[in-house]
Amino acid sequence: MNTPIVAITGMNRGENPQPGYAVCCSLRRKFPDMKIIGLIYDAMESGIFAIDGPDWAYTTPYPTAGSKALLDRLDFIKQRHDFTILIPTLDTEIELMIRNQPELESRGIHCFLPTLESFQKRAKSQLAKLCEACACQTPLTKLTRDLNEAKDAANAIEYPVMIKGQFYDAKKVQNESELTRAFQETIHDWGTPVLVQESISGAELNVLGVGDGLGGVTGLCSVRKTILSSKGKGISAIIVQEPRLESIANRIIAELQWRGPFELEFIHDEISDSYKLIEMNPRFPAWVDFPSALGLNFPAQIISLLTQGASEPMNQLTPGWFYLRHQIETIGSISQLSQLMTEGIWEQKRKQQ
Amino acid sequence: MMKPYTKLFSLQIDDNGFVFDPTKGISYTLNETALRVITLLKNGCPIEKLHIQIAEEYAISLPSAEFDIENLLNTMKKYQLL
Repeated sequence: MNTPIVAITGMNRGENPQPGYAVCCSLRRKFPDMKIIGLIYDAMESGIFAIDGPDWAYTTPYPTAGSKALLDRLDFIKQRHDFTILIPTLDTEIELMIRNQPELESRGIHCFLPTLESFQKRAKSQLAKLCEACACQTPLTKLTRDLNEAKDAANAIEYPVMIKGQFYDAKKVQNESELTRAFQETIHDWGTPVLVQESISGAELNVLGVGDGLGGVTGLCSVRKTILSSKGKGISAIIVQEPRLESIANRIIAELQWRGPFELEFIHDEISDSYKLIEMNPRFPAWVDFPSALGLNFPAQIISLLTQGASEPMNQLTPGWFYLRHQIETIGSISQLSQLMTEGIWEQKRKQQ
Repeated sequence: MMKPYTKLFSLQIDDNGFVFDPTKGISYTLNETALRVITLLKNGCPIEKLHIQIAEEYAISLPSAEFDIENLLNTMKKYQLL
């Protein structure tokens, strides 16, 4: 098999790391000679300046620019490098990619993504319904479209509550004044609906996997976050083996017939000793290279599933391995940046290094 | 025969008393006596005889050993380690 050229989005690391660079690293573990294109929205996405980052980088239009702008840009890039696999890694772009799957397929660009129906059934606004179907729990959540609705929802749920955007962001608020500020910030960044959610104290656990589209998973990796950033991101996490979490994950994936990568975010309710699903991300997380380093390479599975129709069976990881996020500086020069800033292209990047 | 304290057997405990709970991903540190009590439990020592063994090994009174062991077991129950 010729190693395919793969395009990946989400190359920025730093304070709030995106998953693309980690996907790139995972693929290189399995396919050292693989050529990778970084699809970026900003010339300063740090992953493209990393030595082991993508071979080439191209700017792409933001998802709000729509299908035509995306497809035109992909056509342009494909003429230069005949990539056959595209791995989107950002929440805001997944739906656009799903809707454009027939167009992408007709161009010889393959993605491993869920159906639109599956994707929509795991939206934050639909989580309660999904959990009911899967016999699992989720915190009490209300969808709100204006500040008064949000205040009413918070009073009904009782403070403290979480204020969440439809795609991203979560803020814990203790009172109406904090809620007002958080609501306005969230609606400014992510639009409506804004979710008002019961706040549960307890450990945060995540389950990462790839759904095969037939109701099964190719493997699971469960971690408990051990150090959190100010934005609630896991700076450190440790592998756990909790059969109850895996059982919930399997039920959700079977219910959705999920096809593609996913990350389930749970909180452990200490009072009831139960796990509550707080979110299902339709993509790889930024820590995806952690299990890859231990031999459970989910991004490589995507390549196998797309090129061979199957992936090798994966062993469970031993509990006790942990990661610590380690920030370093990547280095670039103005001359390297100029092509990206003016033409949206950075060719032959790795050769220059 | 069923092993008592099933949860105890799922814990990873090293010789230095470093305990890792693989279900929860939480680690703990035991002192020497606590490590000895857990080792005795895992080796099948009945809970009601633990204080006799500990009192003998550490040359302390039976009531003192009983008190300390009860404290340890309560703490372990609190953290759902038993």
